[in-house]
Amino acid sequence: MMFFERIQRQILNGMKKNVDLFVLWILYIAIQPLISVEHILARADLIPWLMFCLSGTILLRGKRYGEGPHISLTQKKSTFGWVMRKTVVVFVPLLLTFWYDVGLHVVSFTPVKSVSHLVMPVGLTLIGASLLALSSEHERTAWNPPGISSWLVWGLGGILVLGSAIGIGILKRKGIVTDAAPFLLGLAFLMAGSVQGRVQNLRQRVAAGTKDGGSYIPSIFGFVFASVGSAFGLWALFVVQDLLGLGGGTGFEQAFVPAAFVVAWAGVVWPKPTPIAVTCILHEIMPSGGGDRAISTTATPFYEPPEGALRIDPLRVKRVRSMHPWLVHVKASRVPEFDDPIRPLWAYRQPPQSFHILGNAVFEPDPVTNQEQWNEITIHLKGSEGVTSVSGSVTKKLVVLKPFLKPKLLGRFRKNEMTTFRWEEAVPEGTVQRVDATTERLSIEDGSIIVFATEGVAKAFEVEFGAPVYSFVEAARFRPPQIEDYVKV
Amino acid sequence: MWRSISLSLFSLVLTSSAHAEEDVRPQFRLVGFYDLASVMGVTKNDGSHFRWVPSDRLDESCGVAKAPYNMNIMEAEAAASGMSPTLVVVLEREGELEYVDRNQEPCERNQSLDCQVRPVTTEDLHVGLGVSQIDYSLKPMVMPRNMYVSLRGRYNAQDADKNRSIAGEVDTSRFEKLIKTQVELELCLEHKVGRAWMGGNKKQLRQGFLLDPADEGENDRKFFNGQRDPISALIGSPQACLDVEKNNTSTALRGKDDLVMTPSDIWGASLPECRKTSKDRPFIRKSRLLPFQISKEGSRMLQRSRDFWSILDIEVSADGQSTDDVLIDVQYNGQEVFTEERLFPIDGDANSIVDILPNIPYSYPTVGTKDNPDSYVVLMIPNWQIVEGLRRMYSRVCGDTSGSTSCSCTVSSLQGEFLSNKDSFSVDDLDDVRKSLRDRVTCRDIDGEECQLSDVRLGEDTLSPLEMCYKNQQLSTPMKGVGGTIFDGVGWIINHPHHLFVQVPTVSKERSDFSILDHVPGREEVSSEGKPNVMDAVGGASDKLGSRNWGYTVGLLAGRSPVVSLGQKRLTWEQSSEVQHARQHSYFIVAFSSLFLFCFVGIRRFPDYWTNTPQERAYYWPGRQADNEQSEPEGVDAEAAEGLAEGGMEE
Repeated sequence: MMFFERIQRQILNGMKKNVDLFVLWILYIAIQPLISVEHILARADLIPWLMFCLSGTILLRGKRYGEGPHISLTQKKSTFGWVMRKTVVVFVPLLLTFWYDVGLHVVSFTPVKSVSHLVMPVGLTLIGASLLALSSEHERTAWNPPGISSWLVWGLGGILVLGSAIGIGILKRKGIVTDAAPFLLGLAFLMAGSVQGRVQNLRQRVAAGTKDGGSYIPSIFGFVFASVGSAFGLWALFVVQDLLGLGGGTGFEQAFVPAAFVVAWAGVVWPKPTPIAVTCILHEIMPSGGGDRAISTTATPFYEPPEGALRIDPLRVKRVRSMHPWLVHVKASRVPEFDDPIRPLWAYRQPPQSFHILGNAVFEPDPVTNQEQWNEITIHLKGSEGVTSVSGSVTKKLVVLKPFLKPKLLGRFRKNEMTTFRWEEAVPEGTVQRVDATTERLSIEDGSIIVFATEGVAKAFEVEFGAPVYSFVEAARFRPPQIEDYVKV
Repeated sequence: MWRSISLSLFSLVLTSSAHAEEDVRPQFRLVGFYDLASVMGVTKNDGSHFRWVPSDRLDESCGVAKAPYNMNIMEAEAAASGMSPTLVVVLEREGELEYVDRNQEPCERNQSLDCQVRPVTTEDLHVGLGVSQIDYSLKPMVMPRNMYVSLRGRYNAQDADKNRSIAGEVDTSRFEKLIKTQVELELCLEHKVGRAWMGGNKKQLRQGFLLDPADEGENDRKFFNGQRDPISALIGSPQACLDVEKNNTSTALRGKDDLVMTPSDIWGASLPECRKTSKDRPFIRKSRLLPFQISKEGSRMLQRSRDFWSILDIEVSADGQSTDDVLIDVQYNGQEVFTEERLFPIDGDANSIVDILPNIPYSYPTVGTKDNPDSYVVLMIPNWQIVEGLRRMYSRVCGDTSGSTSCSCTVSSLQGEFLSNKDSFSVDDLDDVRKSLRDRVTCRDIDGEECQLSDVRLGEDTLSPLEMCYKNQQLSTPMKGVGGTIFDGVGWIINHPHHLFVQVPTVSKERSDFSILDHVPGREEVSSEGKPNVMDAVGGASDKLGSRNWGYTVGLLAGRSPVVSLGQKRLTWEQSSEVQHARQHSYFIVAFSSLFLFCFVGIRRFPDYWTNTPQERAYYWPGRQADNEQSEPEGVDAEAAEGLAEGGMEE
C-alpha cells in the first residue's frame, strides 16, 4: 500500500508543481486547430512547431545551466535588462529554425537565392545580438578577473551553434538524416540555457577555485542533460511510435505529442525552485455562532453538552483584525550538497528562526516520498514543558482542528471515530489533534484552527499560508513571531 | 513480479513480430462529409457562374437538352448554385496511385497526355442508406463520358451487297439496327436529362423510355426523367458520336418545342456521325464540368487534364437464323465488356436484348493538388435522393378503415429491419407478413389502443389492408409524390451519420512489423471479403458508446482536412476553418480541460460533503459572555426620554 501511496503522491506532487506547464500544453492543443495549414508552424516536419513550444516553456521556466556568479557577490538587477534577455531567449529557438532552413533550401550559393533565404536569419541574429548587449547590466557582478575572453566564447559559440543548425539542414537535404527535429531540439535547449549565462561568471569561479584550494572544473552536466537528453528523448519517441506500428512519420495532426514531450522535458530541465520559506499569517478569530443553548438550571444528563460552553466550529468563524505574520522555512534535502566542491553547505543564511510558542515549526520533507513540500507545517513540541509552563498556568488545553483532510485517491476510507464526550460528533482521525504531555509533533495545514485555552480563557487562531519566499533578502524583511502575539502582556 | 510481467511483454512482442501478416486496409479514407450548400453559404463562394452547356452536335441530333421533371434545371446547376442541399462525401486514396493510359495499360505519370490515374468507378464504391447495411442505394454524381461508338457486324447487308460471304455467318443488319437504336436512345437521354444511364428492370426501362406513365400518375415519379429511384447525375454535358458504315440520320421531330420530355424527345433522337479523324486524334476540347475547388493547403491545385474520346467497339455476329445465335463482342477502351455474349439472353424472347451501356462503369470526379494529384474522390448526392430514401424508410403510414375503428400504422423505430421484397401474396404468407410488419410498425386506433390490420381482401384483384401495408413498406415501392413541403434530407443524414454507408474496396499489404493497434481491444479487423464502411470513422449509434466524433471532418484535429467546394476561387484557410468549426474546437478543448481539472480536483474532495467537522468547546471566550445573554443596546433610555418630554425643556 505504501508503494501505491508513494506513486500517487509523486504523481500528484509532480502535477501540482508543474501545473503551469500542464496549462501551457493545453493551450498548445487549443491553438493547434487555429493554425492555418499554410502557416510555417503547421509545417509537416514539425520543427517550427517544436521551437514554438519550446519558446513558450522558456518564457515560463527558462534558466541558465551554469552555476552563475560567485556566491559571495551580489548581482545587479535590471528590469530592462531582464526583459531584453528574456526576449532574446524566447526567440532563440525560432532563430535556429531559420538557420536550419538556410541549410535545407539553399542548394547552391548563388547570390539571388542566398540573399532571399538569408535576410530573415541574419536580420534576426543581429537584432538578437543587440538585445543581448542591451541586457548586459542585468545580473552583472562587480568582480571581473582576467581569464577567458567573453568575445571569444560568444563569437566561437555563436558560429558553432549557427553552423550546427545549417549543418543539420544540409544533412537533412542530402538525406543523411531522416528526422532533423531531435537534433535541432537538442541544439535549441542548449542555446536557451547558454544564452542566459555570462562568461564573467566562469572567470570568477576559475579565479576563486574550490573550497579546498583546488582548481575549478565547470560542470557540463546541465548542458549535456538538456541538449542530448532532449534529442535522445524525441528520437526515442519516434522510434517507439515506429515500433508500435502506429505508422511512419508524425504530421501536424499529431503535433500535440511532441509538444507534450517538449513541455515535460522543460519541466525536468528547469524544475520549479524550492522556496526557502513560506510566509504565513496567524489570524485571531472568534466564533460567529454555535453557542450551546443553556438548557436549564437543573442537572443535565451526560449526553447533553455542558451549559454555557461555547463551541468553535471551523466553518463558522470570523476573523478579527488582529493578525501575526509568520515565516516558516522549508527543509529541503541537503545530502547531495555535502560533496559539492564549490557550494557551501548553507547556501543561504538561515532565515530568523521562526519561534513558535510550542517549539520549532518547519515544513519537513514528505515522509512517504522524501521530497520537499510546503503544504504542511510540522511543529516539534518541547515536550511536557511546552504544555504546562506558559504563564505559570497549570491547566491549559491546545487543540488543532483541521476542517478538511488531505484527499486520497487510494487509501483507507475515512472512518468517523468517537471523540471523548458522548455529546460530541464522531470525526475522522486526523481532524483533531489534542496536545497533551506526551504529544511530540503537531501538523498544521492551510486553514487549520489552533485553539489555545488556559484556565478557561480561550483564544483561537486560523493559519493561512501565503506566498513562498525564494531569496533571503525577502525573508529578512519579516519579523519573527513573538510571545506577545499570543498572550496579552 | 515485475520481471515476469516484462518477460511476458517481451515474448508477446517477439511472437507478434515473427508473423508476417497481411494487412487488409480500406483503400480510401474518409476526409469529410458536409452539406455543399451550407459550405457555399457560409463561405460566400459558390459555383453559381457554372452553366450547363450541352454539346451543339448532340443538340442538333438528339434534340434540345431538357431538365428532369419538377426541377427545371440540371442537377449539376442546382448543386453549383446552392439551390438544393447536396451531401458531399470526400474520400482520400491511400497509398500509391496507379496511372494507366486509355487502353488501361500502366504508364508513368506525365509520360503522355493520355496517361491518367486509374479512375474510381461506380463498381468500386457503394453508397446507400440503411440500418446495419445498405438497404437503399444512393447514386452520387459521376463524370460525363465522351463516347465514340463503333458498331460493326461481322457479316451484314453491305457485305452481301458486295457479294462477300463468310461461311456460317448470317446477315446481322437488323440486329445492328436494334443495338444502334438502343445506344442512340440511351446516350441521347443522357444528353437531354443530364443523368447517367445505368439500366433498370423492365418497368423502370419502360418508364425511362416514356412507354409507361409514372407510378401513381405523377410525372415526377418517373424513372430516369423524374425523381422515382436514385439516378446518378452528370457533372457536365456528355458527348457522343456513332461510327457505322451506313448511318441514316433520323428526320423525326425531337421534341424541340416542349418544355418537358415527350416521346419524340426519345424516339426521334439519333447520334451524330463521328468524324473519321476523331478516333485517330483522340483528344477533344474539355467540356465544362462543375468547378471543383479544393481549399488552400499550401500547394497549387492541379487542373483537370485533357479529355479524350472513350471508344466503345461493338461487333455483332450471328451463326444462325434464330435469336439465340446472335452474339456480341463489346470492348470499351480496349477492355473486354462482353465476349461472345448472347444479344437475346432469354431463349425465344426477341423483345428483350442485353443493355450494353449499364455494363460500362462511370467514374467519380476527383480533385487534387500538385502534391496529391487526383487523390481526393468527391461523391455528391443530391437532396432528393436522400429524401426519397428516408421517406420510403420511415415516413409511410398504413391505414385500415374497413373496421369500426380506423387503424393506423407507423414505423416504430429508426433501427428496425426492413421488409424483404414480395411481388405477390398468398394465404400461406399471411402469418409471415403479419409478423414482419409487427416488427417494423406500430398500429394504433383513434383511441390510441393497439390494433391489427385486416387481412380480408375486398375483391379478387385487390389486396387486403395488411398486404397493402406490407407492399407500401417495401423500399422498392416509390413514394406517391414529392411530399409538398421542403425536406432537408442532407441535414438529417449529417445528424445521423450511422445511417449512411460508403463501402470501399480494400487493399492487402504484407506487413511484418508489430502493430499495437492489432492488440487494442474492441478494434474490428478489416476483412478482405466484402467492403468496409468508411462512415464507421464518424461514430454514432453504431458505436458501442453511441458517441460521435467531433466536427464534420474526421481525425484528431477538426479543420485540417481540405474542403472541396465549387466556385471560381479556392477556399482560404479562414473560410475552411470556419466551415469546419476550428474555433469552436479550440473553445471545446479549453472548456473540457478546465472542466476535467475541476472535476478531478472536486471528486477528490467529494467526501468532504459528509465528513463531520471537528468542534471544540471552551468555557470562556474573551469578548463573549458565558451565559449567552445579549448585551443591551446602547442608546437613549425610552422612559427617560418621555419624562423629559413631559417636563419640557426645564432640565
